[in-house]
Amino acid sequence: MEEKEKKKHRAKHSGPKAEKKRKRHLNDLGIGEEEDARKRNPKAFTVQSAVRMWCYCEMPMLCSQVLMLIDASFGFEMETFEFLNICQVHGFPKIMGVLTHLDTFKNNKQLKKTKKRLKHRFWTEVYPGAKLFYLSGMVHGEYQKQEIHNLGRFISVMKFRPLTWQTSHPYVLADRYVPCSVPQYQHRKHLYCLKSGCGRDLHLIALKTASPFLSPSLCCLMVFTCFIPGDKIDLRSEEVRPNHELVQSLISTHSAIDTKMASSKVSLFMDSRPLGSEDVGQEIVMPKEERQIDLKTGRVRRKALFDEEEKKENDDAVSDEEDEQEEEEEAEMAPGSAKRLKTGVAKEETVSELPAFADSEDDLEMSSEEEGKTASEENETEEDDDDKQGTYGNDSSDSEFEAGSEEIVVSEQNELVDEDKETRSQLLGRSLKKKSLLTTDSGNCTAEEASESEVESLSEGDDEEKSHDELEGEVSDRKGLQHPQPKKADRTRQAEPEALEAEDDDVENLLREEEEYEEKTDFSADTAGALKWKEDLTQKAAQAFLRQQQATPNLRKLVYGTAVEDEDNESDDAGDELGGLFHVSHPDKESKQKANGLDCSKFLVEKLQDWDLEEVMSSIRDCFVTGKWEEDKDATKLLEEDEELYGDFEDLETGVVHKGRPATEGDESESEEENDGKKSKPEAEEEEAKKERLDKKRKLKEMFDAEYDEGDATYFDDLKEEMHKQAQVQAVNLSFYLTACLQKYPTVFVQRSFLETHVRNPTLRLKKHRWYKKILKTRDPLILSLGWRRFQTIPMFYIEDHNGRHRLLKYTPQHMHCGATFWGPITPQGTGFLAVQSVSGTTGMFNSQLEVAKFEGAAIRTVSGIRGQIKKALRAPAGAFRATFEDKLLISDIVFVRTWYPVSIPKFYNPVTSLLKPAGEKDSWRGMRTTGQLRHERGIKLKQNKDSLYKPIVREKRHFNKLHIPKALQKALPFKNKPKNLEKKGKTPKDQWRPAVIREPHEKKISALLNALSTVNNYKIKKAKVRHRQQVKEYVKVKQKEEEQKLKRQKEAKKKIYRILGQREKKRQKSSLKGSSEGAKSV
Amino acid sequence: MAGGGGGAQCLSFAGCNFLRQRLVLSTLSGRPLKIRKIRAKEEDPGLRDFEACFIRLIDKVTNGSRIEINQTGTTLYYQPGLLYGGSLEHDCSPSRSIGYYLESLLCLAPFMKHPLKIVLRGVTNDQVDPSVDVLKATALPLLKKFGIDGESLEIKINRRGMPPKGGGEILFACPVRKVLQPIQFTDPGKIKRIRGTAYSVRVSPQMANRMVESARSVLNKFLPDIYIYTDHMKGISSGKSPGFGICLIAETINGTILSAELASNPQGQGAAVLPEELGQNCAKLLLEEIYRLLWGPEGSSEKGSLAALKMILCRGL
Repeated sequence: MEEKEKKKHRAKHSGPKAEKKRKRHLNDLGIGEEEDARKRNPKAFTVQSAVRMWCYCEMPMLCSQVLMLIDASFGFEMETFEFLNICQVHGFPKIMGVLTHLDTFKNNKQLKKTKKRLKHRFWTEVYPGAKLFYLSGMVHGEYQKQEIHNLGRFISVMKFRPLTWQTSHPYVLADRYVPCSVPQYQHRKHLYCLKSGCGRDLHLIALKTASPFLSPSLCCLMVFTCFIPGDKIDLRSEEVRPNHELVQSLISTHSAIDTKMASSKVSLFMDSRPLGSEDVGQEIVMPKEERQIDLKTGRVRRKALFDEEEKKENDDAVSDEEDEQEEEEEAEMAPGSAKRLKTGVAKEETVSELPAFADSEDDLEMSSEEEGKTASEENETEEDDDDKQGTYGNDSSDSEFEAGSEEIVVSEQNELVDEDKETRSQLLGRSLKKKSLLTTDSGNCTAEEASESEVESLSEGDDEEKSHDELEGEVSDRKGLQHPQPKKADRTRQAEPEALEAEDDDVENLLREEEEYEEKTDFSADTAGALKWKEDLTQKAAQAFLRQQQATPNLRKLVYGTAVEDEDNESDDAGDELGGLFHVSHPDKESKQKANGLDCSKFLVEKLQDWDLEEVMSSIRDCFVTGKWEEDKDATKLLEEDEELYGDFEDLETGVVHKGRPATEGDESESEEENDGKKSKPEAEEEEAKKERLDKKRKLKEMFDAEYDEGDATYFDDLKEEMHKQAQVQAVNLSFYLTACLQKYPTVFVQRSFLETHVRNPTLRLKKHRWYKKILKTRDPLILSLGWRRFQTIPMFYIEDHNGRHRLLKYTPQHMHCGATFWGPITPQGTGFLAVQSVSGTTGMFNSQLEVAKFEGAAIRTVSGIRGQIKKALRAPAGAFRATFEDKLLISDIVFVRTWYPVSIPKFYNPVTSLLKPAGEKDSWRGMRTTGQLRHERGIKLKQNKDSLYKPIVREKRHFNKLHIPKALQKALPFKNKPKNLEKKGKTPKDQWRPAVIREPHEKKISALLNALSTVNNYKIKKAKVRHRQQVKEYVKVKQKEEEQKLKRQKEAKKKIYRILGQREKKRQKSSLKGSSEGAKSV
Repeated sequence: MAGGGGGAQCLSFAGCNFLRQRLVLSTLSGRPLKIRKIRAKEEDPGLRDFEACFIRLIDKVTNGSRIEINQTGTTLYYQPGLLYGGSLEHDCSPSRSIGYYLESLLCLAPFMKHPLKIVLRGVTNDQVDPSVDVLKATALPLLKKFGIDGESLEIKINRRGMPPKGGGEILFACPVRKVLQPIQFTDPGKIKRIRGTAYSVRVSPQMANRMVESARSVLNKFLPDIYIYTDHMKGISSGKSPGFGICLIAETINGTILSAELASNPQGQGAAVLPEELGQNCAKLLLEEIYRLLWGPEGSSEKGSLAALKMILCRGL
């Protein structure tokens, strides 16, 4: 299992969480010989992502399979869901969950419950039935081998569909870069070599040379040269190494951190010290694995809580923190994040593996190297440039003497370059040697250096060299390669004369060089076996020589530059001179053809062939359908074959048996005769016959299938078939290892890349994610992942008005889409660029007549929406003007005029170069901080404008005047709407007043009594009513009960009756059946 | 680090050859371009009118392109903008036929922001460039193979214009495709039919028939399935100059298309050509093309570049 994985981990303030993402790339054709599993995903490798959003936001585009580590003891964390949300943008890769920390559950029931809960939640997020793997716990600080093995196997047999994102966005995943210097460029340019994996097919690689070379999150670079190491077969024999290589350093950082583990003081490894308060990460849990312990401090886990779960979950401390965390957290670093202690690299289980690049300093290299390598070796690989030069030298010399049997160490490109250098070094003499020695300072060295260093080392101590050689020998021995390894002593012995020769000879001719190369290739053939790409080394060398010669430093050129020479050439061209002053220019016909030729795509036929001649005509006759076909396509032939296969059939209707022409009879008899004669290959015959039978069967089956499927062949089927075909076309050579050279690109820039070819103002349409609690502010830096690029920029948000203008927004809307524009690279499609404009409102509108004059005719409106227009400036107070409105204004109304002025977009473009940082520091990338963050960090308090503070709104009660309707209008109104001004009745005259009734004392008594009586009566009636109601209620209740019972009884009764009826019916049926049968019998 | 103005690396070329390809590829890749020494040593230095016309066309279909030409016209700086598309019109210079412009548009059209619908006016058929008829018969099927199809993909000849005065008009419309389908196309197959168009404008309609007959006489020896349309345009749709010509298309069972065409000499230039001769020669040219398909090192001549470009781009930009 080559899969190695990394864990994605969150470095926050506290709290652990284990989330692992394993990422793999399916690659081209099966290589694996050892295991079936490997056949399918031979070149799979894993990448571990740091748990920072800007780190894992690219994962869905990159990987085909994601493993998410979920700490079951903790539950889901926000990152899991954030990641899933990110996936929605680019399309989902295969996602598999891995539950860890299951051993922390003491209670079995609870464990089950948790598993179930997590599983269902996972299903709702991903898809029902999504695979969730359980790692049941640690044994001696390690995951159980069997489980990991299963997991690995599970992954390795998984089928992957090409992701649409990947198929539509060509990419090259670079797994390392190697600074290299080619002699002819040494004096002014730097050349760097980028070893990369997982490119696309050959076409694309060819394309890459022509198109900008875009490395993820980096920028566009121009590729100078690309080398594809040999053809496929070579790839297999040569480039086995990539299988064993993990691209761990690519997107890595923190390993799993688990405070729980830490608090329980469990030691992860037998020999490691118990973990203290520091968090602990363990990684890679594959059969062939490596682990690293990284000690780190402080980090916060964000637990994902769900409404239904929230009640249960009681670890509330987390939920507050969750609020604080958001998706777009930028550059929030734990202060000690850079502190990363590599305590040890534990390796296990040696697999027949080849050494990784000796030249790279990544720890991943070491990881893929042999277990046997000791600390000293590690030191060596980690040593500085000088040492690397040494190793380079060794490698190059090795490549010559061992002919690449273990040359996998260095990329093909390097080899070629080395060879180039070698040829050059030997051809161009030693005079330049010193110089080149001086100039090669970029961690690479030429062959001379190698030889020289070897010589030197021979004479001096050569401890280092020796030890290195020794180690290499060891390594290769361990590898168990079949190729006989030349002993170290041999090598050095061989190296000696070679080096001496190189030193001695000043002039060597090409021929000799060729001979030498021939020898070498012979040697290589002996030792390394099928290394096809080395076959034409002589040719290559010759070509290289020619190239070198062309590139031979011309002293004059060096001194005066190229411009002078150009001039010279031109003057050479203009040979004739008129009067010593003017040149007669004779444009060179040839060059004109080249440079200023007719731009026409039509192919001009210079000489027509004589198409009247029979010969000529017959030469193309087969191009037509009427001509002769190839054997396998000739219709008549095919028909015959078909007849052979399908010839025998019986016409069922007529009963005629059609016999196929016994076509093979003759052959058979012949072969029989042959057999009789020779009796040598009866088995072969049999096999042939068998094959024929199989063929026949297959054809029949095909026919059947065709017939059978035709019936229900739907549009969907067609579509599927087409898709399948397309997929086949697209999936050609999904992966290739290639080496690309970037021209004029100093290594320093690889660390922080700034070259971007096309930076402008693209626009976006965006919406704040519903999980993000805040709204985004204009002019705050944001990290964008756009295509393969990932960068920080300052967007300006806007909304489009009805008139098509873009109004700047201070903040993004809560729930709406809005536009954004920023300074960034142009992405190919669907992007336009525009000038964003913004609004500003004024109250005391103008200050002078002139100002008003400028805005004459401008539309204005009040808060309440009354529209108007500015008419003319008034003289009296400066800035006053006359305006018309559609309605009357109040003095208190504020009138706005909308004016526009262009807003420039800040030119800030900062690629997120975290991937380019050295292995341990990938997380230390820092982007621009928001003003809010800066203020917070520096403790600067914002001076607030008092006016812009929000105060409690006091709404005074408004008094509206009485509605006054003019008389004319009143008249015109219909009666219904006329104000009905009914006059109040005047006072009734005294004579019309009714006299008051004054009762007698007796009458008074009577009425009082009556009053009292009626009150009593009323009360009684009321009481009776209440009682009655109560009674009715009870009665209804009783009645209901009775009804129910009645119904029940009825139901039962009915049931009974029906049952009886049914039984009777059955009986009757039975009896009737019986009766009939009996009757039949009796008959 | 040879950074140009806006940080982008500027490509530098000399000479006016491959001007169209350079501009097209520069537009597609978004890299600025500088072409020096355009006919610098000729008596008539600088860009020709048709090249200027082409640059204007590129400017029309893009948004935000920056084009700088020096005073003599010998140096061109081009900073590509975004491919915008939309409904456009363009008067092409009559010194080259519309095919010259259309070829490049075919490369650019699928990658526009808005579907391109352009009316081109000028010479539809001449002796130098592939005519509109040929492009219609060959390039469109090729585009369809890459998944650029639909009703809106069309080349329509509204009027025919012959050199020297032109007066033709075509409509080219192409839908937008973000991703092209990759194709696998290795076996050309056998030729199953031959089609063609014989056109005549401002001459006797009999010319077309005569060409057809003579071409058939050659091709009938190989294949019976030959049909050559005759297209005689009259009145306003016949352009400003007289002329006639024929184009032949051979189609294989796998959909490979081979083409050959010939046109009469422009009015007032060269000797008069007999239509019979023209038809026969064109048929022979087609046979030559077939011969090259079979034996020659280079495949079909014109469409190779288009196909190659599309193939490259089909993985997305």
